[in-house]
Amino acid sequence: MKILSCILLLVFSAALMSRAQVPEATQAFDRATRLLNQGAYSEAVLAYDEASRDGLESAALYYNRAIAHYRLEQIGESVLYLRRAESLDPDDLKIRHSLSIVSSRIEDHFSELPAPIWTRLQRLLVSLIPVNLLLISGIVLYLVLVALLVVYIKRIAENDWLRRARYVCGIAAGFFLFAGFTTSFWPPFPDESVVLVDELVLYERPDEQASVSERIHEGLVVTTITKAGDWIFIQLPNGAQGWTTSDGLGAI
Amino acid sequence: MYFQLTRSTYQKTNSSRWSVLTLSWVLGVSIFTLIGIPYTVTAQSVKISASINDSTIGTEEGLVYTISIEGAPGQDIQTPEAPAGEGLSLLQSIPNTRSNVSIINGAVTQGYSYSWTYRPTGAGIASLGSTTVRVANTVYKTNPISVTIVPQSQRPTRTQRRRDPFASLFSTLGPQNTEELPELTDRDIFIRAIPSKTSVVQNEQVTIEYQLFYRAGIQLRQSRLTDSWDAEGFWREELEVETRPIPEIVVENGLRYNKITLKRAAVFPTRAGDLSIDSLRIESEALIPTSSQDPFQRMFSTRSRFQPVKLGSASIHIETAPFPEGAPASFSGAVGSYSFSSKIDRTELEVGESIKLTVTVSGSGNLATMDTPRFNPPAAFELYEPQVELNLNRRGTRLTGSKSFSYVLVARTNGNFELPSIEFSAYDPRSGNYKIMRSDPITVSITGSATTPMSVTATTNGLPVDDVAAPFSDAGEWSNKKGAPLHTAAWPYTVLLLPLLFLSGLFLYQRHEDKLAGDISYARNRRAHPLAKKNLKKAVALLEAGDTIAFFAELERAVMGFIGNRLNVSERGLTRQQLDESLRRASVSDDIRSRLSDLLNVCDQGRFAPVGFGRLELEAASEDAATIIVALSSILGGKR
Repeated sequence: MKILSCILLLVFSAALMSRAQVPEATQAFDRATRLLNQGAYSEAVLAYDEASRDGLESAALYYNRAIAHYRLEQIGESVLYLRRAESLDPDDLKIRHSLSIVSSRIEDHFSELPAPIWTRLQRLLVSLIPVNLLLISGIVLYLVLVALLVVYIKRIAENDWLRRARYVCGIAAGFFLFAGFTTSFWPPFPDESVVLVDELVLYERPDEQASVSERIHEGLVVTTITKAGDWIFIQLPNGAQGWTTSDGLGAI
Repeated sequence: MYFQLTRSTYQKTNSSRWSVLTLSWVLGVSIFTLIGIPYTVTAQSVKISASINDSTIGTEEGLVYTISIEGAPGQDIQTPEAPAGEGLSLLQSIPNTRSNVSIINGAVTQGYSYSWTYRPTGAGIASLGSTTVRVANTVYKTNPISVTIVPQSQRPTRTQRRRDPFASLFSTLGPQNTEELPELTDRDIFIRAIPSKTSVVQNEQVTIEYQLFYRAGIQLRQSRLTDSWDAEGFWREELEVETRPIPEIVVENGLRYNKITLKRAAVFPTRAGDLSIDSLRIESEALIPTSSQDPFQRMFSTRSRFQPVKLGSASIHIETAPFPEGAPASFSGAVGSYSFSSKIDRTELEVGESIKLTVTVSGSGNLATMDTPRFNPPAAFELYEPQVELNLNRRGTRLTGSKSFSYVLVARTNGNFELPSIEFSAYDPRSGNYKIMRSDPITVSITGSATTPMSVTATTNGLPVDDVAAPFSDAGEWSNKKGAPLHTAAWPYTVLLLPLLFLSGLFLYQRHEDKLAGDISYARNRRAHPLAKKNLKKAVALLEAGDTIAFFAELERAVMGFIGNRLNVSERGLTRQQLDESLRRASVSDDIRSRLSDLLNVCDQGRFAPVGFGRLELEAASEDAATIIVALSSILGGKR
């Protein structure tokens, strides 16, 4: 009981601390937005950076920062923050519209590989229930099942409802835990990055003397496969792969 | 007979074209004199060539001079005169005449040849003068030919011809049959790699043609490429060549060859610098005509006279310059001669419908790697990835073709919109300039579900058509940035594992409890040792208290209770004989049973006549009881 109390206290304290930083972030956001509307785009970017310094984020923060970058002709950064905004609020029309406008400025156009059926199913599931919620739901149901099993083993009580509850909890816990762990270990949305420089050279090996396999340009969203030191192995939307240095990419 | 023919220059002397042909003749002679390359003159379909068997002969060798006439009927040909020789003496005034018929691509061609044999009069430079050939009413004149005569000792040793045709037949039985096969030299058979250019701009087309030359009379079989042909630093496209080529007779360096095109490829340097293309290597088997006059030997030695040969062309170096400066913004590396066109399937549509805008780039160049031209339609259209269609024409000596980019645009807003022009630029190496091509802007009218035409500056949702939407004025809901994913933390696994262990323990404990409650034997067995231990402890306490009677009573209870629990029998009312019998059935040894009997007797004595028991005896009895319990415990089993 004492342990549970300590955990609840810690969670409550953390929530209170983050809430305490919200007014400061909001003030920074308001100041940055005023600068943005005045056309001081570089200053606005710095102010938005300040607003997100305490680990807080919001779709509006990312969106406005993307607009500032767009006005500065920084297409890569603009795509990066619009994609972040979209991840927080995927249904917002303004975000989607602006993303399509900015994407039309991207030089590279690759055909996209179709996702496998299981990946599409995972994406559908994750769009309905976030991965962490899947896991937590599975754990809670699992604990309920354990409690029901204790009742059953100790013969505290037994009837049809308890038996049905055990079955339902078992199946539900199994499903949520399976879905949660599979989507955690094999995420349907791989790590993505945006090209932030005018041109990024892809090499066949992590070596600048290696043959050049492709040249990609600012704003293109690529998938990160692995990293090796300063080198990063990425995949283009059409499935082509290559090594490049990580300093020209921004992780979404 | 094996002829190695060298062709000289001919000039048509048709009287009606005299002035022009004379000029050509003069030019031809001049070129021949300067660079030593002969050329052929054909009149209509008549083709005449003259050659000698070798440009260098020994003083004891014969020189065969041959005039070949193709494409003319025999009755129109007047037997030519042998040319006069300087340093050469004619051995026969009447030429050897041969005729042949060849069918090429279904066309029948008849040919005649006239040969004379000359003998050198000494070492030095000899020459044969010109002669005339009359075919119908046309007169052709040959050019003089020079021949180098060297002392016979400087010529390669050759097997003397056998004058006796039967001698060779019989000699095949003996070891002296050592007919030497002629050696193939680089002059007899070789591959020539011919690049169309050796100095180009990056991505400019270079056509490489590999031609196999082999002397007349040589037969080839089982020819194959030995190595993979590589051209690092180039984009490569194969061009078509005849799969069953008919050799073309050509004269190279004064000698007559059959020529076959082995391979033709268009290559495009992908980077600047001095780039090289590997040599083309083939392996084959060559049949070299023998000089033997023996018809039997010629017939039966065919198989043995096929020699394996390995051939390789020279590697090619292409000097590649980078793209010239001044490239337009739309330039993406296209080099070549291109034309550009665009078409749209319609210009009026409704919201939700699509139109297809197709731009096509045609011409000669590297179409395969050509990038998609940039196209930024108004935001009223949803633009899909263009469909790309590539058509390459690999026939001929250059790679040509077309590449089409079909943009599908779906109308999302009604109104009149202008599709901007699409720009394509390429560097044209012929003119040395960048060429910019643009499609015409197209106005598209969209009607549809919207009841009132929308302004071109806003969508149905009030968002700007060609610009990003306005920024948010409110920060919205703040949230903490995502930390580490839940599955990377340890606590979920702990929460899952601990209840599992708890459940397992609980299950086992409950099963134990159930067994204790339902199985008396199990329960007594489980309780036997703790109870005996407890009784022994109690007896020791009584010993310390000096209560001898109670001590022995407790000691007997401990031992008997232990035995009763372990054997699951009631120890009350159990006679000593019954006890002993039960223990004997339980395989308890006589020694232990005897010790037990002694102990029980001592206990009886202590309880009923407790006289003479000192502390030592009491402690010994307690120790005996513990020892017997331990011994019985190991024999009767059960938990201690």
